[in-house]
Amino acid sequence: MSYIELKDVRRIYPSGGGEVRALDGVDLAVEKGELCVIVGPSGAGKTTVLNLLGGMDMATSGSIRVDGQEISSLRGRGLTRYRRYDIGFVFQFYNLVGNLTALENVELASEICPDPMDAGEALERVGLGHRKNNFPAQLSGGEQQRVAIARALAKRPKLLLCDEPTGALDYNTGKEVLQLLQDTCRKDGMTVIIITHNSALMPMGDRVIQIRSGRVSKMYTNPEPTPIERIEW
Amino acid sequence: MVVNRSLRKELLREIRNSRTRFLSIFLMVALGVMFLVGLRSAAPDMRTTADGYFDRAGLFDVQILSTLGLTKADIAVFAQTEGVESARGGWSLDAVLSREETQRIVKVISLTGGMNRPDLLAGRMPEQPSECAVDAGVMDGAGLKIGDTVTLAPGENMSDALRCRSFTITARVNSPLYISLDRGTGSLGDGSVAGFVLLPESSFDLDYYTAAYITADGVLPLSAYGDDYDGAVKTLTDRLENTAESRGVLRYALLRSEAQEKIDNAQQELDDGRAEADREIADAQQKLDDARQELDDGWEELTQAKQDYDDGVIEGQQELDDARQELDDGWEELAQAKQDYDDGVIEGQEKLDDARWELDSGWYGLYTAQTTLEQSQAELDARRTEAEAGLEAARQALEDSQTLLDEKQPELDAAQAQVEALRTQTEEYAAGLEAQNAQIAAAEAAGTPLDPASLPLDQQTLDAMQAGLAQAETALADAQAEYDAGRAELEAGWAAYEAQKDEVLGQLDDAQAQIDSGWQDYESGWASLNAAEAEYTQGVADYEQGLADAAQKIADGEQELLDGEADYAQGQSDYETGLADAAQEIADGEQELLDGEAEYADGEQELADARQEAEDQIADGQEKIDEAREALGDLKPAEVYVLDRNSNYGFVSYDQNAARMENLARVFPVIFFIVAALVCLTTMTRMVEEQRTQIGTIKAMGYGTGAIAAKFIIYGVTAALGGAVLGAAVGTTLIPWVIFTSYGIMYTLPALQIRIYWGLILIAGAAGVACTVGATLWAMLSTARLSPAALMRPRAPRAGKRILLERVGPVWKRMSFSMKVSARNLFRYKKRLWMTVIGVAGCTALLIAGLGLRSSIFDIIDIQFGEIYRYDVQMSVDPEEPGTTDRVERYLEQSAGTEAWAGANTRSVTFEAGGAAADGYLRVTDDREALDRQIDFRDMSDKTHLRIPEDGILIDVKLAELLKVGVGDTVTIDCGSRISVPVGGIMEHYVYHYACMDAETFSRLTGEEYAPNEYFLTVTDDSDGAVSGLCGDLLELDGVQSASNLKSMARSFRETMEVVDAAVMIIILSAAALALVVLYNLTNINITERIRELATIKVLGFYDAEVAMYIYRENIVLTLMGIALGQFFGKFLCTWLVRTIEMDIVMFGREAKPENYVLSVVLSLLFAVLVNILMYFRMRKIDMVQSLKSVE
Repeated sequence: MSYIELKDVRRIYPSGGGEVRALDGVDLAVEKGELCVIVGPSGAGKTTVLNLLGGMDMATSGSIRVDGQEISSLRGRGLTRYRRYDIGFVFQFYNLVGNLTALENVELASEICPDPMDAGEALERVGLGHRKNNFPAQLSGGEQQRVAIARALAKRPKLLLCDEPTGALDYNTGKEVLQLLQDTCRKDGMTVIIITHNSALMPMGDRVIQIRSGRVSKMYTNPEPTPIERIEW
Repeated sequence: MVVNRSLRKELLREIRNSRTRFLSIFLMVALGVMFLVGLRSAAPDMRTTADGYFDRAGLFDVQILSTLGLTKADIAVFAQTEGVESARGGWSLDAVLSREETQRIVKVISLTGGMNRPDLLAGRMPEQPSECAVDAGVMDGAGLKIGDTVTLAPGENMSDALRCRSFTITARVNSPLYISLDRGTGSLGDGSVAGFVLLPESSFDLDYYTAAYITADGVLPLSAYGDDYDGAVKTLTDRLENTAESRGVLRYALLRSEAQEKIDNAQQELDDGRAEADREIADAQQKLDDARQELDDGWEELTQAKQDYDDGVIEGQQELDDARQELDDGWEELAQAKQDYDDGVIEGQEKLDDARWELDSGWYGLYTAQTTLEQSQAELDARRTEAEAGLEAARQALEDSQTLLDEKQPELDAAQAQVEALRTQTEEYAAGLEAQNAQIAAAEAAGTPLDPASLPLDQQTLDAMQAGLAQAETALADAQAEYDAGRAELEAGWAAYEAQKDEVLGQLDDAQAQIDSGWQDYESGWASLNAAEAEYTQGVADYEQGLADAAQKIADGEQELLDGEADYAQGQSDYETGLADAAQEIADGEQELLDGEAEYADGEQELADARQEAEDQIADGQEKIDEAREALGDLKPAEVYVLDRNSNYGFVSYDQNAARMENLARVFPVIFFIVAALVCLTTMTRMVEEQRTQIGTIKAMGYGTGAIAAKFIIYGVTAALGGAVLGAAVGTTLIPWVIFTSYGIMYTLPALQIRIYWGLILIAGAAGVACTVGATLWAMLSTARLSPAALMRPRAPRAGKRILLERVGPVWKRMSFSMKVSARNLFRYKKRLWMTVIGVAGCTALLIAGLGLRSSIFDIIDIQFGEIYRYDVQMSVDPEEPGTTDRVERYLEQSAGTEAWAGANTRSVTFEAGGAAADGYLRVTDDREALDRQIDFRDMSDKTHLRIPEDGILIDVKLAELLKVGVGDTVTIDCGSRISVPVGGIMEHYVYHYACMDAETFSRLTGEEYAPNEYFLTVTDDSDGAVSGLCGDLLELDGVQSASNLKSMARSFRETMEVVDAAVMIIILSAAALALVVLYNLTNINITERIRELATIKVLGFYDAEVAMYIYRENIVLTLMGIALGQFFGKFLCTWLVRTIEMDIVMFGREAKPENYVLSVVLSLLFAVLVNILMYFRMRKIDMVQSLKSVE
C-alpha cells in the first residue's frame, strides 16, 4: 500500500439547482519520501485535491489514506488534529502573521506540536537564521516563503503540502524555493507534494500527476528527475 | 459631489451587506440623541405643562397678605394700581375637617372667581354657602365621596369666620395653588396640613379679606418659569408694596377705634355681672345653714340607737351561754354511756368466749370417746372372728374324726363277717376232715386205704385254716379295740370343744357388753353437749341483742344532743344576724349622716368655689378687659407681604426638579456621543480599508475624490440621521413621559404636553452627524488622497512593531507566547484599544451610577426606618383635648404591649440661616433619654451617639448643608414665634428635615408650655397583627388622632420610591446597549481585519477554542482595563447623579456600596462574555480556504 492513496475520490458541490463535480473519481498514490508534482489548469480540481489532502475540506465519497490513516472519515476536531500533527502547509501568499517576527511565526506552529523542531533550527535550515528577528514586512517575498516553509517543517509533518509555492515569486526566487523543497525531500526524506498550474515544474518531480476535469489524466514516476537549475519557464 | 445611479445602488447594497456595522452607528447615535433630546426637552416640557396649567387656571401672579387683613377698599385700590390686570380679595384659613371619626387639618380657601381656578375632576363646583370642593388628595386619604357632608371647624381666632359648620362636598378638585403633594404648614394641630377645601365666597363671614390675589397685565403669554415673566412681576411687586404699605396704616387706625368701643361695652357688662353674683351667693349660704341643723338632730338619734344595741347584745349572749352548758352536760353523759357500753361489750364477749371454750372441750372429749369406742369395737370384732375361726377349726377337726370313725364301722363289720365266714369254713373243713378221717379210718378200717392224694381234705390245711382263723380273729379284735379307743377320744374332744366354745363366747360377749355400754355413755354425752350448744347460741344471740339495744340507746342520745347543737347554732346565728342587722342599721344611719356631712362640706366648698369663681371670673373679665386695653395699646401697625409665585412651594420645587433633568442632560448624552464618535471612527476606518482596492478602481475609472468620499459620508450620515430620527422620536416622547410620570407621584398636574424642540433636535442630530462625518472624513482623508495605482496595490501589510513591553526583558520573557502575541496586537491597534476601553468603562460607570442611585435611595429607607427610627408605632395626639397627656401616658405605662415610649411635640417650622431657608419639623421633648431610646441620634460618619443638647438643637445633615451651617452656628426657627438657637450637633437623618430640642429650652425661648402631641412606642411583640391590635387600642383613647405602624410607613415610603427602579432600569439597559454595541462592533472589526490570519492559524491546526482565545485574549484584557477605568468614572458619575437627583427634603445615601461595584464588574463581564459567545460562532464559520486567497 502506498504512503498516500486516493481511491475514487469525489467532491461534489451543490450549486444553484444542479451540482458541480470538482473531483469526479480521482485515484492516485504517492510513496513516502517522494516529491510529487500535481499539475493541471485552473479549475481542473487540483486545489480541491489540496484541500482534501490538507484536511481543510471533506470528500463527498471515496477514500483518502495517509500513512495508513483514513482521512476521509475524519470530521471536526479529528480533522484539526490531522492538520495540526501531520500536515505542513506552504501557501502561495506565505500567510505569515504580520505582527510576529520570523522566529515567532515559526513558533506559532511549533507551539502546538508535541515534538517540534527548534524554531531557530528550522530557520537555520531554510537559511534565514540571521533574519529571525525581522518582521515579515521587512523580508523579501522569497524570504517570507522560506519562513513559511520553516514554519511548516518545524512541526515535523508527515506531508509537506505546497500550494503554488512560486506563484507570487519572481523566477530566481522561485527557483531558490523549489530547490529548498527538493533538498528537504532529498535530505530529510520528507514527502512533498507541490500543487501548481505551471507544467514546467513537472520534470523535477519523482512522481507527476496531471489532473484534468476532476480526474487524474496521467500519473507517472520520473526515475531521473531533472535538477532544478535546468528547469526553465 | 456627484453621486450617480450606480454609486447609489452600490451604496444601498453596501448598507445591506454590512448591517451590523450600519446598525452600530445607527444605535450609538440614537442613544446619544435620545438622551440629549429626551433629558433636555423634559425640563421645558415639564415647565410648559405647568405653565399651561397655571394660565388656564388663572393662577395669581402676586398675592398680598396683611397681618391685619385687607378690606374691600384695599382690594379696589390694588385693582387700580398700574400694571394690575385684576385684583380679588380672598380668604384662607386653617380648619379641622371632620366626618365621623376622620379628622384632617385643611386650608379653607375661597373660590375667587376667575382666579386660581381649580381643576374640576368630578362633580360640580360649589354654589351654595354650605357646599364645598375638596382636594382630591384629602378625599382619597380620608375616604370621602362627593355628596358626603363634612364639618369644618376653623381655628380659635377664626371660629366665626364661616357661615356654616357642615358642608356638602360637590366637587373633587386639584388646585393650581397646590401642584406639589406637599400641602405646606398651618397653625393647627401639629402644623401639617393635609390639603385644601374650597368654599364659595358666600360661605365666609368675615369683614376683611385675608389675602388679595392679583394678576399682572400682559404676562399671560410669557412662560411662568422664564426670566421675562420674573422681570415683569418684579416690577409689579415693587409698585404694589408701596400701595399695600399705605393701606396697612389706614387699616390699623380703623381697627384701633373699633376695639376701644368694644372694651368700654365689656366693662359695663362686667360690673352688672358682679352684682348678680353677690346675690346668688347669699341665697346659697342660707340653704347651707338649714342643712347643718338637720344633721345635728340625726347625730343625736344615732347615739340612742347605739345604746339600745349594746344592751341587746348582753342579754342574748347570756341565753346562749346557758344553752351551751346544757348541751355540754348532755355530751358528757353520752360519753359515760358510751364508756359503759364499751365495758359491757368486753365483759360479755369474755363470758361467751369461756362458754365456747368449754363447749369445744366437750366436743373434743366426745370425739375422743367415739374414736376409742370405734377402735374397741373393731378390735373386738377381730377377736370374735378369730375365736369363731378357732372354734370352727376345732369343730371341723372333730367332725373329721367322727367321719373317720364312722367310716371304720363298716370295715369292722366286714372284718367280723369275714372272721365269721372263716370260722364257719374252718369248722365245716374240720367237720369234712373228721368225716374223711372217719372214712379213712373207715376205709383203713375198711381197708380199703384210700389213697391220701385222693383224699380232699387234709389236716394240714385244716391247721392252716385254723391258724388263719385265729389270726383273723386277733386282727378283728385289735381293730375293734382301736375303734373303740377312737370313739372314746372323739367323745372327749366334743366335750372339750363345747367347754372351750362356751368360755370364748362368754368372754366375747362380756367385751361386747362393755363397748355397748361405752356407746351408751357417748350417746348421752353428745345429747348433753348438743343441749349446751343450743344454750350457747341462745347466749350469743341474747348478748348481741343486748349490745344492739345499748348502741341504739346511745345513738338516740347522740342524735338528741346534735339536734340540741343545731338548735343552739341556729339560735346563735339568729342572734348574730340580729346583731349585724342592728349594727348595719346603725352604720347606715351613720353613713347617711356622714354623707350628709360630706354633702354639706361639698356645699360649703361649692359655695366657696362659686364665690371664688365669681371672683375669678370677674377678675378674669377685668383682666381680659385690661388685656384688651393693653392689646389695643400693643396693636401693631399692619405688616404687609407682597409675594409672587416663588412663595408657592409647589411652583418652586417643580422648577428645581426640571432643572435637575437639565443637569442630567449635560453629562449623560456626552458619554454616548463620545462612544458614538469612537464607534464611527473605527467602523469607517475599517470600511475604507476594506474597500481600498475598490476606491482605487473607481478612482481609476475617473470618479473624483468627492464622489468616492460621498459614498462613505452618505453611508455614515444615513446611519447617523436614521439614529438621530429614532433617538429624537424616542427622546422627545418617551423620556419626558417617563420623567414626568415619575414626578407625577409628587405633583398633581394635567397630562404632559409634549413639544417638539426642533432646535434641540437639530443640534443633537447635527452632533450625531458631525461625529460620523468627522470620523468618516478622518478615515477617508489619508486613503482617498492616494493615487489609484497605489490604492489598487495591496496595501503594504502593516509592519509589525516591537512594543515598549518587549524592552522590559524580565516581564516579556515570562509571558507565554500567546500572551506576547496578544500584547503586541493590543498595542498595534491603538484606536481600537481606546475605544473598547472607553466603551466598557462607560458601561461599567453607567452601571455603577444606576445601581448606586438605586441603593442610595433604597438604603436610606432601611437606615431611616430600620436603624435610626427604633420605635414601632408612632402616635399623634391632640394635646388641646383636656387630660389627653395624662390619659395617654397612664395607658402607655400600664399597657403590656408597650415596652418603652417617649413623647414629643413636633411641629412644622421654617429654618433660616444666612439667607437660606428650608421647611422642616421642630421636635421638642422633655425626656431626652426616653426619646433617645426611640430614635437613634447619631453622627453620620462615625455613627457615634449624639445627645440633644441642653441649650441648642440637633439638626440633620442635609438641613445643615442647605442652610450652610455647622456646629456652633445659629439657626433661626420660625415656629409661630421666631427663635434663634445654636446648632449643637448634626445628626444622620434622611427623610424630611428635623431639629430636635429640649423642652425647657423651647419654653424659655418661646414662652410656650410644652405639651406632647406625638408618642413613639417600642412594642414587646412586633408582629404586624400585634402592632395593629395595639394601634387599634390606642385609637380608642380620647385625644389620640392616629397611631401608625412604622413598618407600614416604611412600606409606603418604599412604594413611592419605586419609580426610581424605572430610571435605574433605563440606565442599566443603556449601559448594556453601550457595552454590546461597542464590544460587538470592535470584535467584529477585529475578526474581519484578521480573517486571513485566523484562517491561516486554523490551517495550521489550531482548535476552535484556541482560535477563539486568540481573539478573546485581547478582548479580555481590554474589557478588564475598561472595567477598571470604569470604576473611577462610575464613582464620580454616581456621586454626581445622586446629588443631581436628590430632592431638598430627602437626603440620599452617600456611601459607596462595594456590592454595586462588584455587581457592575459582574454585569460588564456578562455583557462582554455575551458578545464573545456570539463571536465564537462567527469565528467557527471562518472558511480556511480564505487563507489561500491573495491579499486584497
